[in-house]
Amino acid sequence: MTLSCEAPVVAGMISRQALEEALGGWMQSWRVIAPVRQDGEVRFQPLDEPAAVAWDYANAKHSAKGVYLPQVERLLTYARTRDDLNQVKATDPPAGPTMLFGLRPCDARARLMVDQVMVDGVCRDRYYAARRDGTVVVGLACEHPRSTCFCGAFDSGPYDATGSDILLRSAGDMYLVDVVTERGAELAKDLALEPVDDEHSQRAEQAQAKAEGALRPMERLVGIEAALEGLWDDPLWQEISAKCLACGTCTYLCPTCHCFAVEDRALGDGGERVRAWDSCMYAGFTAHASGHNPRPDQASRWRQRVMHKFSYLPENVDAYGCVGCGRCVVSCPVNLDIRQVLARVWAAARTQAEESAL
Amino acid sequence: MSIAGESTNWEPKILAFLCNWCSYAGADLAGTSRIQYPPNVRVIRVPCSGRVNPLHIVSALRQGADGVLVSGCHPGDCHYLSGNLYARRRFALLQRYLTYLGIEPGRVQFSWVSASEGGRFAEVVTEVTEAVRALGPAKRLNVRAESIVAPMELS
Amino acid sequence: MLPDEIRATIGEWLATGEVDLFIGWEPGTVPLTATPAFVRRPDEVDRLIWDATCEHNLARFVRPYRDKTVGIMVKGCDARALIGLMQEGQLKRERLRIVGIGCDGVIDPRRVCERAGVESVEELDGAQLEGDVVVFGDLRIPVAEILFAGCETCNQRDPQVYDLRMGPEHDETSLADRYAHVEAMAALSEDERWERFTSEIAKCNLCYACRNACPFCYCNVCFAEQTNPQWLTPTAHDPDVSFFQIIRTFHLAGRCVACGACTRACPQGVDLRLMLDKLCADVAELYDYVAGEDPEAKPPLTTYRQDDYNDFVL
Repeated sequence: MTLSCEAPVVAGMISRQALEEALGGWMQSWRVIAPVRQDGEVRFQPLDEPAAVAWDYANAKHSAKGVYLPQVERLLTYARTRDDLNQVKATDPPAGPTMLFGLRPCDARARLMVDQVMVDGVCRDRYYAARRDGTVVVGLACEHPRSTCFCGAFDSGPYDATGSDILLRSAGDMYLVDVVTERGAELAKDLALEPVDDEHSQRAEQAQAKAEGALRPMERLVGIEAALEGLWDDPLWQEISAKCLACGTCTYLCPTCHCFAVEDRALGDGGERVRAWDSCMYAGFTAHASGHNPRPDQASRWRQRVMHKFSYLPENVDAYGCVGCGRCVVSCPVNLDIRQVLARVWAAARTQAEESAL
Repeated sequence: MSIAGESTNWEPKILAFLCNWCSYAGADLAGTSRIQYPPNVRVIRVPCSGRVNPLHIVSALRQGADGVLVSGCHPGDCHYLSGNLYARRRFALLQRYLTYLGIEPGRVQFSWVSASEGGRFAEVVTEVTEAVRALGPAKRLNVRAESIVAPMELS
Repeated sequence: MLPDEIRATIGEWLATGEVDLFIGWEPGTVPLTATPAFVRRPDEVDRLIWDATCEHNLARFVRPYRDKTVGIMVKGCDARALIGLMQEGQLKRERLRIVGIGCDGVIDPRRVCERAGVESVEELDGAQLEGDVVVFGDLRIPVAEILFAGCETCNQRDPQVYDLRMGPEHDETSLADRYAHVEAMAALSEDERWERFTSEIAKCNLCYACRNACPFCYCNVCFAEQTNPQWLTPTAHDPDVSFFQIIRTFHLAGRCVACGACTRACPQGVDLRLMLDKLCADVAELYDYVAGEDPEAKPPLTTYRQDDYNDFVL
């Protein structure tokens, strides 16, 4: 899979205070989006002041994908005025560089995955590209994975640098600064770095080992596309989807889900064309104008969700549509746990293999 | 582009759902009798006040109507016997609900006007128009009240 | 706790084919959650549980199986939803085998998070429900202190319809407390009410979890997804969101049984009870009707009286 990176180079270490000072400088020329505490929860928001960063956050309920793929985005507006019968204006996506600060490795990888579809693949989505080009990521390695995290199942982990330009690793009172990309190297020049001593180096390594050890064991998911090949007609899809409410919460919170619908909104003398997030969980997702729906029930929609993430995307863009962040597990109103679904997939594939071997 | 309420020449735009057999005929009588009344209502003829769905009323507000009037036959006189009686329950609940949520009372009104009550129709329209005029242009629920030009950003 | 004799009876129903399917709850994978369980074989009944984490209204799942005979576990409020669905001709009583539960309320994991000082429910790793106390590390929180808000003022804790009954019996409290939050809202000024309404709605991202969790939202094509005509565009911005909320809740007037499933399903914490309880209060006041009591009763918007409330008409 392409979602990997060269081994990062340790550039030095820095105190949190010095990092906050650097942030203050960066906020002058970048729009800095960081995890911030608001109304009792953590959200990715434009930063007002460096001290507002929620350094010890686990992860935000919502992903940061709204930064580069907004939930609602105007593509163009049109108007008919007295002088001008047809005024069509393409809305220009905001220019200006964005920094995603404090992103966890799962979210950083997720952004890279969506890039494979939206810009690095067959075609280039200019709206997405305009938001994404010029965006830098300062990642924050994850010291305390939750019981619902499963990044390890993708051969990744809470200290994976993939997708970040710089990765920060906590070492007690200091952060180790890992440079991952050339852009990261440029950014690192703004930081008041000290050389790393053995004590801090060891602390960071111990924290990493502890974090990786804290991940709940789970069957490895790399290779699951092979298991899915024979399962199109398997009854497991009916069983696992029975309790699904089709609410779409999983798709909205997921950092890799990127399906959208384009809607025209006519408002009398003018109107607009907007792109808005859509969800494969919705009944109308593949409803045709004729009235036919090739995915008429939740079982077929769930099959599509799993196939898309774990079979079609690996085949088409060499990346899984899941990073193991666990948001869907936490927020699903009926606790439809994708980890259990994937375990069922492996089990069904094994049963099939045994039966055909007989 | 019509952005509501920006000009000083604003006139209330009121959508009136009139039942074919009573209120629409009453409106027609007001016209043939040359009774003057404010020209602010746009009429939609329906077979019966019972045909009017809360979706219509709330959608009218969403699309920029400053006021909505629904008028039907007097209870007991419905051409379809009971359509207005079902409607009465529906509208009572809807009006209370919208008021509770903060939509100004006076924007959504109901009346019973019979086919012979041309004068009454004119009275109702005048009353509703003046009530809406006093409230000003409708901004709550109005999709056109938001500026079309401002970009939508991460919220 | 699911009594052994009830569990045994459910097993018999499945073994003899008296039911084709039994819908209950089993433990979830996130702390202090349960998850709906669809059980078809007698040996699967050991998965089933009953406790204060069993918050879903399972009546929502029955309708697709209405041509089969289905067993189901329902709390007091959920049982009313079954009655409502019978009133609307969606379910037949003889096709149901109902285990009715006298309920003392379900817990709200968000309140547990507040008490424990954590931000999100997955951080309650290790939290357990032991009897009527939630135990998390050194913390012991009585369930009565962390109930879902609707449960605190509930007066429909006993099931109105069942084949088997379990759980305590209750002397139902009066309705007075139940509408306190509606009265408080109604007492605000018009601008304050609009402010309160819009600030709740601002949290909504139009995911439709509320609609999908509700047993009464079963239209084949929901108005929100109609394209001809298209009532709203799914932009998750006002006024599309207000439009959806106003109309969906209004569609429940006279039908909502105040089970709270919608409010609990909402991932954003929108206070839908504030809106729905107003409709319940008005239906009780104007038409002397409470939803889900009598399968033979006509829902209030499908009937009328000559002397119905008329003062609101010009």
